[in-house]
Amino acid sequence: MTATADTYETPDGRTIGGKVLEMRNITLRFGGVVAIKDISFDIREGEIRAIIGPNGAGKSSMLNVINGFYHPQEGEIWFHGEKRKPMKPYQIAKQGIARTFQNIALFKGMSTLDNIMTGRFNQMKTNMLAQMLWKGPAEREEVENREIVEKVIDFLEIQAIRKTPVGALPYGLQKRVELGRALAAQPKLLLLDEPMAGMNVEEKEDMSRFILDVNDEFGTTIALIEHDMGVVMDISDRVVVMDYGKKIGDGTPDEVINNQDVIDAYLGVDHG
Amino acid sequence: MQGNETKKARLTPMELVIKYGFLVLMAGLLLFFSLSSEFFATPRSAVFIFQSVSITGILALGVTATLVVDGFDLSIGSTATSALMLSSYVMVVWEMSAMWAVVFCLIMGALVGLVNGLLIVKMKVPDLLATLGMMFLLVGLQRIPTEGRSISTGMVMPDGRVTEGVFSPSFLYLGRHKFDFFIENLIPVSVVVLLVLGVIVWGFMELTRHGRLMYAIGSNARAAELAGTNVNRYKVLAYMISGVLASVGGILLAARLGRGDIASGNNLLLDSVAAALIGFAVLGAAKPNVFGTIIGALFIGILLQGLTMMNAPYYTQDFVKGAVLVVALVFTFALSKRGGAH
Repeated sequence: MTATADTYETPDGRTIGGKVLEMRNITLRFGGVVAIKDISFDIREGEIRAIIGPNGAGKSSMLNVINGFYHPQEGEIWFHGEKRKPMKPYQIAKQGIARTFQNIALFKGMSTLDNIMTGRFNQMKTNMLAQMLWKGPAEREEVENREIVEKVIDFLEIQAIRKTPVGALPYGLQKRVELGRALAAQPKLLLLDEPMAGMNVEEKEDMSRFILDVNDEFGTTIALIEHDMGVVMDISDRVVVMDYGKKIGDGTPDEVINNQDVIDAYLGVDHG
Repeated sequence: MQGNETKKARLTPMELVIKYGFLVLMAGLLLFFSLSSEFFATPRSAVFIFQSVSITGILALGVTATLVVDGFDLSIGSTATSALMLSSYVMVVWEMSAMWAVVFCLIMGALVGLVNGLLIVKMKVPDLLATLGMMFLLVGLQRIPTEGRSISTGMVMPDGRVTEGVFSPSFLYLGRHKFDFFIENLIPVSVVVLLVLGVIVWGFMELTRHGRLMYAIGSNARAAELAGTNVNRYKVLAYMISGVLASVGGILLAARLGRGDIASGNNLLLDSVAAALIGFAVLGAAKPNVFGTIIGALFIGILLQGLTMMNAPYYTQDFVKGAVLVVALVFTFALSKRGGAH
């Protein structure tokens, strides 16, 4: 099962690479409650992977396991072909896993630019004194980082609000700034927690387009969770379906949508 | 790179009030005191103001550092008085040099900050409670070695020994020397210390990524952690900065008094916290900031000096300080609804 070399072609002609992240037999319990039960799946280089399921299915718990907020009682997590030791969320972020939040995690009093810049700070290395004196390597590093940030701002079409405190922005734009903050870290894996929750149709279309463009332009591997099936089916390459903490389907959107268990889960058939 | 910056909008009256209100208030206060008391606008009174501002200001810089990470340090006042007692003890009882007194105090400040920080991030004690506990602990601890008496040369220790050490002249220099600046003996050493520390802390907070990450932590710790920030480490760092700055304040106070006075420094906590919070209102920053903190300390210094010169009784001063603080908080929170640091 260490087949990291095998690749596949998507219908639109992109080549998907080896495994970036592999979850093996993950079980997560809170006291007596089993939030995730023996789930395995992988996320491959360059793909858009969705995790869907009804409310309470364990999707958010799964995301929290991936970025280290929760530590599963059983199972292994493999990242870039190495078994991951239990780590703190900030360490995982430094390894290249960035994420957004369903209820938006931004620095509200700070401008769009400063928010996105924080995504880069932990990539910076020059020492404090050099930064204070704005000398040599510190200046070069600051300029390089600014370029990356400017690229992200251009890309997400948020030049007009670069100086605006994000607390004053409408919800849809805040989501976009948060995506920008995550992108600025140039992550190997980008986790999106319900990126379209609470959005109107137009905003959802915008967000879908940005997700596809991020994947296309930077080759970023993306995993997103959603409970709304519609949009997700259009943009993902492969989908994991969860219900009551268990995996009930895994495959391309077409395969998943014709899976009887998935249909039952979404139509609310009794699990008795 | 700044090409597509939006054109600066004209400020509305309300925004003008938020931005410049406090500076106008301070100018008004200066004018009022100058007119009411003929001695207020003199170099001698300026020296008094600078001297009182410097120690408050240094402590307030520490408070600012903890406010930036959305914390709070109530133990600064007692850390400063502990440093006051410790430095006296080192020189008078142990008969060691001024350098050792300073070194011991700085280490003590760093340790107090470290313990505060660890209590908060590791033991999950809420910041106010952890530093409140530390405050009481230090207030008690600093009295134990001398059984509650002030330290001075020739005093009788609990074991019957008579102390023979003295405050060294180089130590007293820190508290008593004044540099010439246009007028002879205008700037006390402690003011220079405040300005140097202010520039360093300002540079750290505004120019380095560490400082900006600390602001990020204060705004949203979870988001900062997601961006790969070791939140706990920065929080501990903030409390250590606070502890060290408080001990610097205590050293300067000891050098000014020339004895380990047990009753000094009662107002340090209130004054420095007020300075840091008034700082929120300066230039409409609506967040902890170094420049505002120093202006805040100056404001309190001017106020106290003015009230003293107008013969206002000492017991009214706390009331006036409290009232000013409340006004400053109104400037910060009620008037600046938009773009606050919360």
